[in-house]
Amino acid sequence: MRNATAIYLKESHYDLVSLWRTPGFFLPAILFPVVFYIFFGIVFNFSAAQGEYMLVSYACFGMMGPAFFNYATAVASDRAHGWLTLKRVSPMPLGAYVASKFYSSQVFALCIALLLFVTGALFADVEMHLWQWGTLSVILLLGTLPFALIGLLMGLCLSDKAAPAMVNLIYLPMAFLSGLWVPIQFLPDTVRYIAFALPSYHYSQLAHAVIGTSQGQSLWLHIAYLVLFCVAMFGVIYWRYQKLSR
Amino acid sequence: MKTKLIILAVITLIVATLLLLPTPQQPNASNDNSFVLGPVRIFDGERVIEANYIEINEGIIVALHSNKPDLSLRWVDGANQWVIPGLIDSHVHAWGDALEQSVERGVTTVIDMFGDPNFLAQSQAQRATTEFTTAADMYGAGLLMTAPDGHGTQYGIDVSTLDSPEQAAQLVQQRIDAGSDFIKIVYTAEGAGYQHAPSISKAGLEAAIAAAHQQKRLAVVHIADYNSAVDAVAAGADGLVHSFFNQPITDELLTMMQANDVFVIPTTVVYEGMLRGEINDEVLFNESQLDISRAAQSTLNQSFPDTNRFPEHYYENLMETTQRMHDAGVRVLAGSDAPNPNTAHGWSLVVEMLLLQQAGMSAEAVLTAATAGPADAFKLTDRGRIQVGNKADLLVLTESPLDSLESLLTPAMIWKNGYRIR
Repeated sequence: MRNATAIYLKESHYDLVSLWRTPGFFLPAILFPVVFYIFFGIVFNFSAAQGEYMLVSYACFGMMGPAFFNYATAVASDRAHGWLTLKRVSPMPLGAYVASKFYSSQVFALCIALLLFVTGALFADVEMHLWQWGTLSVILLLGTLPFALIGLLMGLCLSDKAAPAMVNLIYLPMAFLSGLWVPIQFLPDTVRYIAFALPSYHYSQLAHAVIGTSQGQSLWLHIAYLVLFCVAMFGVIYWRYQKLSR
Repeated sequence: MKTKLIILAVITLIVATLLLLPTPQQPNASNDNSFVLGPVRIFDGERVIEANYIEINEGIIVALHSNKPDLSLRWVDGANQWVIPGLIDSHVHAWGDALEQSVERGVTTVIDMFGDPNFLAQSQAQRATTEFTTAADMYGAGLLMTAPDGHGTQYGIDVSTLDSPEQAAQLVQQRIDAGSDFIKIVYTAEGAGYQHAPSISKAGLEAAIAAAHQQKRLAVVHIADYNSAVDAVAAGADGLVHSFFNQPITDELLTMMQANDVFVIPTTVVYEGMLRGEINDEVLFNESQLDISRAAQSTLNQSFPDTNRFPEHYYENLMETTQRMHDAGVRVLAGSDAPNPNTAHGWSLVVEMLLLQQAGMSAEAVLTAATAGPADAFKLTDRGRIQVGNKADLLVLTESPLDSLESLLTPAMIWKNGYRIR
């Protein structure tokens, strides 16, 4: 038992170290949402009077990114280079591999969240109660799980060349359609119906509920959706993985 | 060991960052809402009064004294500065942190002329209390009354519309059920001479005003041209929420407004953005000591599309109309229409007041237009005046606002519900 924990910790540690040694990947990944937030959430914010609102929206947007990318691109390239095969024949449980990736994407996401918070506080006069800052951080972090799972599935399905492009093709429209760039109430009705089917919408609604700017639907509805979505994703991933093993 | 230290350091850094993030102000012992403020010079909303000390108990003004009262209450030194009632902006569209932005500039009450009824409902419970808040109180029209595809339907809020006059009573009832404090109607007369969104008919306007009055609610009308103003006043509107500039006001309309005691909120500042576009530079941006937030700057710097489509004399028409209405005794109220282009919450009410002064109103009349005037017009009995029984929403100014309205741009202290928030 002690051994198993040690393996998980070691694998997580080394996954983070390997990321740390590729600043060409992690620096842009961290700075992208911050730059995006400064541009469209602060400087060219045409929706006025919504410092907190824009911060929460762009934080959701920024946190989804590393979950998607860290899984999709890393898993796809590990598959392409035979790393995944090596890991699977090693005695390490596969769970450690998956968990370590989630861990490193959480570290990423936390860095992004803190950077965004500080940026918002400094340049957009955002003020929140301490419990709001805290709850928001927790919701933002835990809520990245569905996106990590989407990323994992994509990593298991796509080639290492296709993965980054495909991630953008899903990530960016999903963010827009969920009202993370332009507030949802300014989008046409059709978009609002689409948004309802997207995990990113329910994720952002939970985050917005912290500052009282959600659309007013039940929190349990959002939580139930996200949990069911994760369960379904686990199912599909399991199926895909079994197929790969054969 | 080294790893553990690094992890510890990282965790400390994260926690420290979270703890250092800015939080809203909280009430505390040295900032409760019972105290005596003085010595101060007091403009009560209409005139300068004799008293020099204001006694406040739990956010309510309980007494005015000429000399310092012998009480155990906390004393706040007024240093012979000026005190006026918290300002009331009679025309805003509030969402997000509009109410916080307003109060930071001394606007302690806003009147929303169309917005999400849920946002209004959130504010309605708060405004009757004197609990600690860093947000302005809000009264509002909720959803407006307009034609299918008319003005007001383009902002992404679902608005049920008025197809025919017969629906007016039902629609007004719907608005009141959703929490509307008064009824706002959008109207453009046929042949208004400019391109505009579809409008309800004249009969629809009359029916809507009658339905509002039936329910004992004010009916205020959005107009933007002379002919529409005439129709609105003739139909019995209580107030016009914009002025007009396509021609100066006529004696005929002036007489009718006097007879019906109709008030007007010219929203000069938003029109100035369409017709001239210089006032923000003059009053705000050229004053380097003003700390204008980025959010405010962004809307102040926006402009309407095709700003140059109007002839130059339209701005003079607008100012002349305001002056003539005021001279004739028509109640002119200060409203900014923030956050439309050329405006920002809080800031633009002061700009509007300066514009009203430029139009020929006295400083005293301008101050009333943003305090006691709107309180009377919208029947807000607990605010707008420094008098016993009213909320302690107060502004302290270093200079006399009667000599210099610009002093409103840099209030020395702001109290909301008797709590000092600035």
